[in-house]
Amino acid sequence: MKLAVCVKEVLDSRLPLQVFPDSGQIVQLGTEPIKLINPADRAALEIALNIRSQQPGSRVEVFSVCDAVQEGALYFALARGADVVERLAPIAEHIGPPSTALLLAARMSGAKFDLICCGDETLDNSSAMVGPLIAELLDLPQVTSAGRLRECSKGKLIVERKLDRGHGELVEVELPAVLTFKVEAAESQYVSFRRLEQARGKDIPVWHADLDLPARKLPQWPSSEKKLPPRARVKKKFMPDASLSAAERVKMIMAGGMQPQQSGQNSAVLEGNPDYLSEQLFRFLKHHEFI
Amino acid sequence: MPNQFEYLFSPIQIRSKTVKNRIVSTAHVTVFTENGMPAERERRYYVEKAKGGAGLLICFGSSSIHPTSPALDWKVVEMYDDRVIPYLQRFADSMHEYGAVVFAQITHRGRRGHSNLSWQRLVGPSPVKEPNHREVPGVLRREDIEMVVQAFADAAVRVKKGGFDGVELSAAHCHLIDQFWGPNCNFRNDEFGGDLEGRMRFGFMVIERVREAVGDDFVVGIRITGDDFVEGGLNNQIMCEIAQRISAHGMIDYFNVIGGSGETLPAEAACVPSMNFPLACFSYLSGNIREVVNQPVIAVGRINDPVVAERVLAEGQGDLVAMTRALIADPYLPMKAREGRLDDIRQCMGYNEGCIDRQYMGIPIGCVQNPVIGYEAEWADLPKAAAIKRVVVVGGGPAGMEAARVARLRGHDVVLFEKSDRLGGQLKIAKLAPKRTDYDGVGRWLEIQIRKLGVDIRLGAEATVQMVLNENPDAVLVATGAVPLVPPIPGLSECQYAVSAWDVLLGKIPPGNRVLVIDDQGGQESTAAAEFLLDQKRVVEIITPHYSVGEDIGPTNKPPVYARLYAKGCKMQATWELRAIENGTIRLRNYYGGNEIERTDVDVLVYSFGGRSVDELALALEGQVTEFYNVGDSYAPRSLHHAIVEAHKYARQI
Repeated sequence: MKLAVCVKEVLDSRLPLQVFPDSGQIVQLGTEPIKLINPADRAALEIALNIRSQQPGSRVEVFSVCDAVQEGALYFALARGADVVERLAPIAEHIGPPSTALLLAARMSGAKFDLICCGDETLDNSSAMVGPLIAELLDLPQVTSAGRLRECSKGKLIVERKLDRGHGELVEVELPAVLTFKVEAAESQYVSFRRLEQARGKDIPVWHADLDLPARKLPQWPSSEKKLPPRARVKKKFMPDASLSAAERVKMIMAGGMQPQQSGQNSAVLEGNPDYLSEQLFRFLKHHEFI
Repeated sequence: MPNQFEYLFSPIQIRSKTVKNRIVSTAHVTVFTENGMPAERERRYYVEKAKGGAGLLICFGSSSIHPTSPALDWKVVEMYDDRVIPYLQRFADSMHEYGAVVFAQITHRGRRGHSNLSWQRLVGPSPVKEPNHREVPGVLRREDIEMVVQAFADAAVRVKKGGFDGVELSAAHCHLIDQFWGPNCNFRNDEFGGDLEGRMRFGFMVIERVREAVGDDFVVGIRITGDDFVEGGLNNQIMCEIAQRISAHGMIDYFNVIGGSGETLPAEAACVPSMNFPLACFSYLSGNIREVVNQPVIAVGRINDPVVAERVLAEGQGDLVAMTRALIADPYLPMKAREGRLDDIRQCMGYNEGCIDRQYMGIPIGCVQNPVIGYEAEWADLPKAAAIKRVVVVGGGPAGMEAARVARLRGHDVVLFEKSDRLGGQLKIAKLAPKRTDYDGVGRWLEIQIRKLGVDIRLGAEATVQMVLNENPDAVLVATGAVPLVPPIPGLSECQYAVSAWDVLLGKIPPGNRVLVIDDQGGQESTAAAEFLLDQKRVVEIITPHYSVGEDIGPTNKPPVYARLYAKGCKMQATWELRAIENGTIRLRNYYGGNEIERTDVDVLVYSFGGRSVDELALALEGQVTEFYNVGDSYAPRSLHHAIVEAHKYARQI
């Protein structure tokens, strides 16, 4: 199989950061910025490498749209075992996710990849747009928020999708396709310092976009003027039953919406060994959609 | 990365006016007026809010459109007199200078109040008294109604002439417009009563006449309740119907939706929800109204923090958020939120006894946390000291911390001694009571501030005269607080099963199920201890020599406290005082009748007589240092509000 992975280098958000709300710019506080491969992209890379190890003759190519100083994620991919890495030089009027996607799609179109793997969102801007936009531009099926791969054969694959509140679904998709993976889709493997150093010694090829990229396809993003948030829809909240007396209604509001607890009414005491108790607790939380 | 306060700091259009953010200070009475005019004190109070960055200021709670509306009890603005116009102009200019949009509220309170200051009878739709004030109003005749409607329009014109951007009609708190709406106070059988259309006729006449008078380029909003929490009153279903009709009528530009009503004491307490209520507790009401109207809606009710406010907006419960008390506690909240300085925001804790509870007593509002409120002319600026001094503060309670904060801000070098291992003083005890956790907000903020400012805090250091003098202080401020007072009642100090309310909250409780609480202090000490014990399933009775248990608890705090105590099975008996304890027998005397009874059915006696100053250090230090102050409870045991104001005042003098 021919596999493509899209990666990005991001600032380590576990370190102190400052965000400028108006410009959206993120700056790491400290002397030297500490960068890493975006964790979800790293999961996507692991998935692609797993497929390669199961299907002999497969090939993993890794792309990143970035300036020369942001090649860290590509070096990491090389050290981790990617066959080819390539940097796509940003176009002059680079304007965020749409132009990133446009460049990646332009590079990959015609290259006949069976599977394009992306991270579902980045640590920094979290727009979660690049993967879906690539799929749209290349007119390929897409699966977002992908978890673990269940099955992968030549023409199709079956993948778990992560939904809200702990729910999930299994999706079968025909290849070629674009998948965006969540960070927990694959465990990351250790990459030794020696291999990283070896990778750093290599030259990364650079691809320059054809200058007459269809500029008309670039959507307006982000505009320089501040956007107003949309009119928020009313989320239905708890309210006391209208048939209750005024005093009861106030009492319920004061109690934060809880019914005054009658002993034994809403509570149960469970006894048993820890395995049984943890199983019951898990079922309760799952049943009430807490997890 | 998205802006944390995407909604809160986006502008919104109300008719022709653009409000720069969604933060609103709603109309409230301040009792700052001079002869019914919004003079300098009122203006300075609002200038701070405008400077702090609030987008919309709705001013002058319940200002009167007509002399028949009670005005003197709360000293509201008298909007029925042309002499108000120059005051309004000066006021509006000041607000506009800082980019705030400014509206004024006008109303006729109808039967809500007393006639014992104006000597004009109260008026209402029907001769039904308000349960809260208990004075029967005279009935408005057809020609009286015409007079009132015209007075509304005239007052609105004065507001416009005064340079304001809009006017708000109050139809909340059971004022005259909503007295006409209410099925429990309008029993007329003419065209102004009967079905909803009839009951809404008066309100619509007012709206139409006001709109006609002010023209198109002026905002006219309305304040309504979302559920008045009164039996047989205006519940949410009726209010959604009323709001829908007003919206469809098309002359009102925004809806400002409260919970509760001024009609009964429990409903009045809900109007300005204290720390007994959850945060943003009435946003579901504004959310429901917002679903049926086309105009912007202001969500109201304990929105004390920009994070809560943003959630209310993002969840569509309102287009704007009322943060009135939050802006009293910290007028600079909008600016600080915008700059991401959330830790620096002095968060309103919903204590209420410094603001709204004082207003209901007819005395100027303040803030238990923010001593500047009402004294902006004197205290809004905090100038640096002419000479840097070495200041020693003894005591890490609220008074000590406020003194240290102010002294440090003025540039002094400050050392603070606290004998225990944590700051907070009595707040550490008070916050242990049920529903009083938020009480610690003031302590948390003060501690964060003095740590940030670099006050030298010495915990576990019980200061002695020598320790203080060893610091070579130029000024010393003693704030060593108080301990529970044990009065010389025979047998009390020796009684094995008697404990103070403080000890109860600290968990030092003698065994036994039957508890008698003596409430002499009159505040929330005894009720808090009683509820703490009720939650342990003990049988609790409170007695007091006063007319009622918790006699001095403010009107917006007492109903929720009573509601919980009675729901938990507490017994309360007024007018009895503790006389003596003899061999397991407790003698009580009726405060008025003088007759005595004996009680032998008590396992635990809890007493609350107020505090006794811990002033040994203060007395020993006086005269030994050049500049010396004793502040807060160690000066005389009083409330948190006193402690903060006093500490602030003296720390400014150093």
